[in-house]
Amino acid sequence: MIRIKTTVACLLGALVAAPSYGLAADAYPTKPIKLIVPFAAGGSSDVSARVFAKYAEQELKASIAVVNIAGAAGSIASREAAKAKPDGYTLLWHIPTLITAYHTGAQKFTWDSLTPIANVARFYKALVVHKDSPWKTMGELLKDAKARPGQIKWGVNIGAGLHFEALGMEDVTGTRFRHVAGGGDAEQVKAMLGKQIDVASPSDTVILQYVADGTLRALGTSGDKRLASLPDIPTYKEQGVDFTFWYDIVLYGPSNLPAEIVKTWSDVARKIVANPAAVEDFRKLAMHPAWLSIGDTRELLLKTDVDLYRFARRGGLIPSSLD
Amino acid sequence: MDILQHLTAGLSLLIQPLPLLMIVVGTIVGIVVGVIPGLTATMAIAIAVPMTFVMDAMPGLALLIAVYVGGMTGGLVSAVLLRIPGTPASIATCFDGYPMAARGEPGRALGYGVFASFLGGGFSYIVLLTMAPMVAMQAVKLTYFDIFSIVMCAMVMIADTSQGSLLKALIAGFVGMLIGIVGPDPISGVARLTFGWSELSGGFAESSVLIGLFAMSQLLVEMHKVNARCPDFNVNYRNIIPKWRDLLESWGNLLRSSLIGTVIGIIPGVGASTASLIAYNQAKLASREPEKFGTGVKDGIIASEAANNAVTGGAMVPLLTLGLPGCPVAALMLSGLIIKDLQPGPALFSNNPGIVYGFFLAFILANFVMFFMMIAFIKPFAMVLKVPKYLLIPPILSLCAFGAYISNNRMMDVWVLVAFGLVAYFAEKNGYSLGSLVLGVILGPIAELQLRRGLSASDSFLPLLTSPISAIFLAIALVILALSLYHDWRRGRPIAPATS
Repeated sequence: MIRIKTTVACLLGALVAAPSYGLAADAYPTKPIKLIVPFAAGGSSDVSARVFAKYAEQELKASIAVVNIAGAAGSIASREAAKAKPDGYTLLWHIPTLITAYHTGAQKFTWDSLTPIANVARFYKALVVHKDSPWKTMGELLKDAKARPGQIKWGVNIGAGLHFEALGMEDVTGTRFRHVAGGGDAEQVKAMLGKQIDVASPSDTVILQYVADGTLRALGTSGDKRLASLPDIPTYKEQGVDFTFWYDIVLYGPSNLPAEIVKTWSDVARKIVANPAAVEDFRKLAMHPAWLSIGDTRELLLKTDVDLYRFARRGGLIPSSLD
Repeated sequence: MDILQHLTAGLSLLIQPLPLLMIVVGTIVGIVVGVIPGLTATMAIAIAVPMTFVMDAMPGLALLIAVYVGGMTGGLVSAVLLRIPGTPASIATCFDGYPMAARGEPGRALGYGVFASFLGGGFSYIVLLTMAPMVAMQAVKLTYFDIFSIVMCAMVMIADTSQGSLLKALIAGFVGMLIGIVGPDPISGVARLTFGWSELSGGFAESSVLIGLFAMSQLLVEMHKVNARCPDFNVNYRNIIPKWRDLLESWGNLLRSSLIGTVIGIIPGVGASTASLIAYNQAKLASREPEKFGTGVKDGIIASEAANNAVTGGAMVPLLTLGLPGCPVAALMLSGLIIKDLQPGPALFSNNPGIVYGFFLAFILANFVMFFMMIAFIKPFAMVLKVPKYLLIPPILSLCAFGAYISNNRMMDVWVLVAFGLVAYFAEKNGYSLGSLVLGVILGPIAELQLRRGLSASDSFLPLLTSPISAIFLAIALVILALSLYHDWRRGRPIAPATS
C-alpha cells in the first residue's frame, strides 16, 4: 500500500526535481525521502509519523513516503534504517522500544547503531484503576502493593514501554506487582473494563472519556507537570513518588549520517513543533511537542538507556551474572 | 425519540454530495482490490487513511467504510471464477463456488455470493445499530481464558471440514501451528525458531502464507491445464438473481452464518477468514446432504459469504462503543477518527451522536451500493473465464507478489508466498487439508497469546474450567470432536490413511 505511494511520490518527485538537478548539487533533498515506521499502519506511531511527514513536506518542499516495516518488536525496521545509505533519504521514526527491545534480548543492537537527529514529541502516561477498586490515591495503591507483594495485577506489554514503566515504578517505590501480559494501550483498557487487571498506565487520550464518565479512576500522571488533558490529576512527583516516565518519539538516520543533513532535519523538526497547526494535530494523537537539540537528544537517549537498563536488571530481564 | 433524532442527524451528515460520492468511489475501489488476489481491503484502507486527513470526518469515514464493505465482497468473484480467493476471507467460498461455476453456472454462483454478502452484512449492521453498546459491554467481560477456549472450539469446528484422513488433517493443523510459532514470541517479542536467520525474526507474514497457500498453489495447478477450454455458460439476470424459494430454503443457514460472522467479528484478532470457514462447516454439519458440500451446493457459498460480510459489522462494535480496535481495519479506522478529534467510545455516543449514526448508516448505504454494483458487474466479471489461462496467470501471480510485498515492504514476504505456494501444491496432491493448515496458522498464535496472557494473570490453568464461558466452549469443542470421531467411525472414514 505504502509502496504505491512511494512510486507515485518517486514519479512526482522526479518531475519536480528534474529541472533543478545539476544546478545545485548541495540542495538536499533532490528526491523523495523514505520515513520508516517500525509498526503496522494505523497505530499511534504510524499516524504520528504521517502527521510529522505532512508538515515536513511543507518545510522541506520535498515529498516524504512513510513506509511501514512491522515485525519483531520493530527490530526489522531499525536494522533496515541502520544499514541504509547515510544520504538523508532514509530516516526512522521510533519510540523507546528501540532501547527496551535491546535490554530484553529481542534485538541485538540499540540506538547507538543509528544517528539520533531530534527528539520530537512525547506520550505521557496516566495510572488508572477501575472505579470499583479500593484505591482512591496513589499512596493507597502503593501501600497495598507493599503489603501484598506480587498480588495486585498491573497490565503491561512485556518488553515494551508499559512493562518498563511498571518496573521503574517498582524500582523507585520498592513495591512489587504481578505483571499481566496484556498488550498495548487499547488492550489494557479493555482488560481493565473487564476487571482482568487492577492497574494500567496507558496514554492519557485513551482513557480520558472513561475517567470523565467515572468508569476508571486516574491516580496520577507520569510527566513532570500536570497534563492539560487531566488538569485535576496530580503527577507522581506531587504525590511523593520520585518517578517520571514517558515515551519519547525520536527521529533517527542511518549510522554516519552527515552532520549537515542531521542539522537540516533537526531544524525541520524544531519548526514543526513550533507550528500551531502541527501542535493541534499532535494533541489529538496524545503527543506533547518536545523538541530537543541534537546534543540534548543524544544525552536524553544515554540517560534513558541507563534508566531502562537499571529497570531491566531489577525486573530480572537481565541476569546479574552478566556483570 | 432519541434514536430517531440521532438517525436524522446521521442522515443529514451522510446525505451530502461528498459523502455519497465517497461511498460510490470507495465501493468501486473496494470491489476492485477485493477481486484482485493479493490486494486486500486492509491495504486499500491503509492508503486511504492519510487521504482522509484532509477531508471532513463524514466523507472520510464514508470512504473507508465503503472500501471495507466492497473489499469484503469483491473477494468472492475470483474465488468463484478461478478458485483463487480474492481476499483470504473468501477461502471457503472457493469450496462450492468454483465447482458450481465450473459446471457452467458462474452467474448463479456469483448471484448467491452477492445476495449472501448483502444479507450477512445487513444483519451485522442491524446488530451494530441496535445493540452495539450492550454487546460490547458483554464482550469486554470475556477473559483471556474465555477467548482461548472459544478459539479452541473454532479450531475443532474447522478441523472437521477437512476431507480425507483425520490423521492427515491433524498433521496439517499441527504443521500450521508450528508455522505460526516462528518469529517473535507473542509475549516478549524475542525471536524463536528462526535458526539464527534474522530474516525470519518477523515470522511468516500471515497474509503471505494465506495468499501462497490458496492463490499461488492454485496458479500452479492451473499451469497444468493452461490450454483447457472453459465450459459454455450463459450469464443473465434470470440466473444471477436467486429464486425466492431457494433463498427461503436457506434462511436458517443465512441466519446462523450471519450470527457466526458478527460474533467472530467482535472477538479480537480472529477475523473474517476463520468466520467463513466456521460458518461453512456449520452449514455442512446442519445440512441434510453434507456429502454434497464441495461439489457446488448453494449453501456452501451462502455460509461463507454471509459470514465474512457479517464480520464487518461485528468488528465495528468494540471500535465504536469502546474505542478499542480488534482487527487491522478497525485500527486504521480508529486513526482516521482520532485525527478528526473523534475518540470513539461511550463519550462519542453522547457528544457526537450524529457522526456515530452517520457511521452506521454509511455501512448500510455502502451495503446497498455494493449490492447493486456487484449485480451489475457479474456479467463482465464472468467474462474473465473466457480469457485464456496463459494470459491470466502471469498478471495474477505478479499481483500476488506485489500484495505480499507491500504490507511490510520486505522481500522476505514474497519468498514466503512462493514457498507456501509450493507447500500447498504438494500438500493438496497428497491429501493434506489446506483448511486445517490454515487454521493452525491463524488460530494457533491467537490461542497461544490468550492462554499465556491468562496464565500471567493467574496461578494455574484452573480458570479454564471455573470460568463458565470457557468451560462451556471447551465442552462444546469436546462434544464436536467426539461427534465427528463417531461419524467417521460410522461412515468408516479411516483414522489413519489406508495403506495401499
